[in-house]
Amino acid sequence: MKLSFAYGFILVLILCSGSILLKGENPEQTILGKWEEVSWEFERVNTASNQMSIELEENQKKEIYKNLIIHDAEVWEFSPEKELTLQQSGKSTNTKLNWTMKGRGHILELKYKNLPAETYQVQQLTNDELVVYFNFDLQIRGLVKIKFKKVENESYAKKI
Amino acid sequence: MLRKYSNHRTIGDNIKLGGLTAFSAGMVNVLSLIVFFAFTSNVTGHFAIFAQEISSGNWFQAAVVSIWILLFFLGNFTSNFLIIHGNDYIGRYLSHAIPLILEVLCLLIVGIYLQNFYTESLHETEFLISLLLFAMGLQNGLTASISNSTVKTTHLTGLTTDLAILLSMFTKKKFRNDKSLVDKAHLLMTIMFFYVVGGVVTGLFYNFIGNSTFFIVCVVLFIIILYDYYKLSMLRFAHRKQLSVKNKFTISVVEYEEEKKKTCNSN
Repeated sequence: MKLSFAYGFILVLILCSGSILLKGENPEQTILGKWEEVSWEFERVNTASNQMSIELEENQKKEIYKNLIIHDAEVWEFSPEKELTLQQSGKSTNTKLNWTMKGRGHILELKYKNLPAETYQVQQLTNDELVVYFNFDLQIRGLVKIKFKKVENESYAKKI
Repeated sequence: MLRKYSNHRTIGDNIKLGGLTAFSAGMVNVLSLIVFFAFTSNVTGHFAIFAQEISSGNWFQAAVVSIWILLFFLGNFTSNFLIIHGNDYIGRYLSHAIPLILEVLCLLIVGIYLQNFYTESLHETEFLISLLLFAMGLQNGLTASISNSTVKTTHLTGLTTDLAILLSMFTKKKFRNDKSLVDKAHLLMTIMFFYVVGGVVTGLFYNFIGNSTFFIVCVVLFIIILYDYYKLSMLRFAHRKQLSVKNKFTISVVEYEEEKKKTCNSN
């Protein structure tokens, strides 16, 4: 009796997981479309004070941004062809790079030309909101949190 | 290493098996972390992630993680199933070697797929992680089953606990003089050492040969399989030789007695 319960539990778990996988939305599909940056928050900055939110010094910012692909983009557009278009403010040319998702969909990897790949941890991904973390190895000990909101599709807006 | 079972195993058998399998597990875990950003030789973290994803309402990710855990479970189940049922039909060595052969097959599939077909889609990543978890389950189930749960090489949580307890026990002289405890400490330290070495070696190899590092893990596992095959062949050869010498001796004794009878009869 107990044994059949154990086997039954495993079977139910397999069936539930299988049906969620078949019907549920893959993070790779959820992320598709245009995302607008809402905020950049720096966490755990090296400082003597106990302040939680800290203004970065200009030289710190420069050092952080120096090797970062995405630093001055405002809109990120993920295409199904695994291409990410970064639209920058005040610039007519867009930067294009490749994106992939790893793990269980919790890692966003960005590749640009021959530069080393940048990996972001996807903290939250819903139809309206995307929150990613990027880990720095510089004196900015800790994380940068980038928040996005979904930009409505132009054609969809026109329809409305 | 493989052909002996439960209490018939010596500490030497366990150290050899533990060292080599821990080396391969360390390699696989670091490889999967580099390539897929996921651990594959242990499931403790996956249980925590499973709970976290459920609490966050991320049902798709929770389902993925539950399938991964189930595949590790299935690997362990398959290993022990083959060992306890296969023993009567295909012999002890083969029933113990088949889980390792299946593990090699899984790793080969992952290695070949990564080199030739991988497009870095999430579905592929999730599937390949599943295969690696199944492979690690096979290995863990095998080592734990044949060693009476003495050797577990794919994760170090329990091992670290056991080692810490042992080392604290060794602060008393009577435990320091207990050979079985000292042997156990040697085994645990060997597993820990080789697991870490496997990880370091993988990190270095990956920089030069990339995904082909999976094939090196296969070579390590083949060494375990062939080591016992070689030993078994040598034993059979020695046994046959012993038998033939014995037969020759018996024949010559019989011939001598027959000749003796003939001479007696003629007289």
